[in-house]
Amino acid sequence: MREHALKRPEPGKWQSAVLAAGMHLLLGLFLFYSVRWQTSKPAAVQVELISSMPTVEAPVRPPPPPEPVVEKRPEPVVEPPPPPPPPKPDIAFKEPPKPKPVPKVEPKPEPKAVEKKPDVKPPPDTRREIEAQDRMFKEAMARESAEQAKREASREADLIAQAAAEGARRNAANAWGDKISARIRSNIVLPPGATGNPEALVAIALLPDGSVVGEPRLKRSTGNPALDDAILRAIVKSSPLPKPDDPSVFVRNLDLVFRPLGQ
Amino acid sequence: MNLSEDLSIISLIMNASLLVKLVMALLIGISFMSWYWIFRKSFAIRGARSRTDKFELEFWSGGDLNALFQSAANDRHNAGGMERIFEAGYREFTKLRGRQNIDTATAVDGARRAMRATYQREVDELESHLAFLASTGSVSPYIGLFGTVWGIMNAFRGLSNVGQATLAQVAPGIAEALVATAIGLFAAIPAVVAYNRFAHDIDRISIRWESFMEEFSNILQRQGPGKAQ
Repeated sequence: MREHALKRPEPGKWQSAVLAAGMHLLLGLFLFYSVRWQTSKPAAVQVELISSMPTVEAPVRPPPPPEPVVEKRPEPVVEPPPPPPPPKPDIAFKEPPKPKPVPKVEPKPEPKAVEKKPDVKPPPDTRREIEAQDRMFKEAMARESAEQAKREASREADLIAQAAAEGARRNAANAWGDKISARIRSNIVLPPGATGNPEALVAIALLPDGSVVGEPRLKRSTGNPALDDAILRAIVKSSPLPKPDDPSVFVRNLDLVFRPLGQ
Repeated sequence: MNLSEDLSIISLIMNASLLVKLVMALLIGISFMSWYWIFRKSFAIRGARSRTDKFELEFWSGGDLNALFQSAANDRHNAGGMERIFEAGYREFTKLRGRQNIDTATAVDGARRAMRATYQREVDELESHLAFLASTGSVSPYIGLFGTVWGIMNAFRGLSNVGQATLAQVAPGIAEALVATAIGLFAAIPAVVAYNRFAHDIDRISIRWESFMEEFSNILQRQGPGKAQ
């Protein structure tokens, strides 16, 4: 009489099994399509390498050719004097003659005095006096030239040190310029049809953190207005620009020679 | 262990050690069974509730008890728990009432006992396999954790043979091992939620059945003397 309680229809046996299987299939698909942790990473690494490579190359390149110096001129006003130093050994040797005329001018008054003296005092030992004066003059000359040599030597050393400092500075400036160029180049969208190796001179006002103030100004066009616009846009987009490794190189008003197509 | 190594879920599972694989297989089996019972129990509970609603409506609409009993006895396979309780109680009551030396109170007591027995059987039927969900919820995270610990142990043991330890050497092993915990959690979370939900639903249904039993006993008590033959 109560067996019916034990033999009852089981509701939804197969339905439940199918639903459970479907549930796991869903989970499996979800895991399969969502858990893919690899692949895109290498690409990201590459991008990083490209942006940092130019800065590594930059310090190596500048030392030999003085030409890039002309190319990137972070301090156009201050630097004109430096250009001579690179061939400074020659200049250093040529300079001594220049100072010499100055000492030579000094002796002249003395001879005049000698001439005058005879006028005033023609008396007895004119020769001796003249000889003595001659000697004195020669001694003075010798002393003078020794001092001159010393001064020249020290000046030469100064010049060398200065030139070395100047060179290091310029290298740092070039490295910075390369860094900025690389950054801008990575952001530039070249207009179609840009060919050759055009060059633009752009004046950029910078804040100490490297961000661009206002709009960069074009000082010399590449000749292609579309390319000029692309360069200016890329500069604004690249803000903040990379800071120089050597903070002393930083200038607020930077004149950058930029070759959008060059390397 | 190069950078471009494929870390899709399939390769993760395939590269795991044997024990971790076994743990994962066990967990997937448990998860499947727990989902199976979640669906079955939810169908069963939903059915029990709707049949209880239907029978309560019929019962309180004031129909003849005999007619109700007949329909319940004829349609046993489709009867819900409350209908069965009613059927068992009424059957026992009529049987006892037919006897000569039994008064109404005794007959009602007998009917009550019969209803109680049916009630317990029905509740037991509804509650069956809930324990499985409960233990799935509490145990499968531990099983998964065991697989993970074992996998990480292996990953670090491999590291001891290498002079220069890098993250890339342990990372795949750890990722593999963590898949075991993930599967364990996937099995456990729905099981716990479903267990709590079902336990609550069954409690409410059994309270309805119990109060019906009390009310029906009163009806039998009232009706007893008048219909005594």
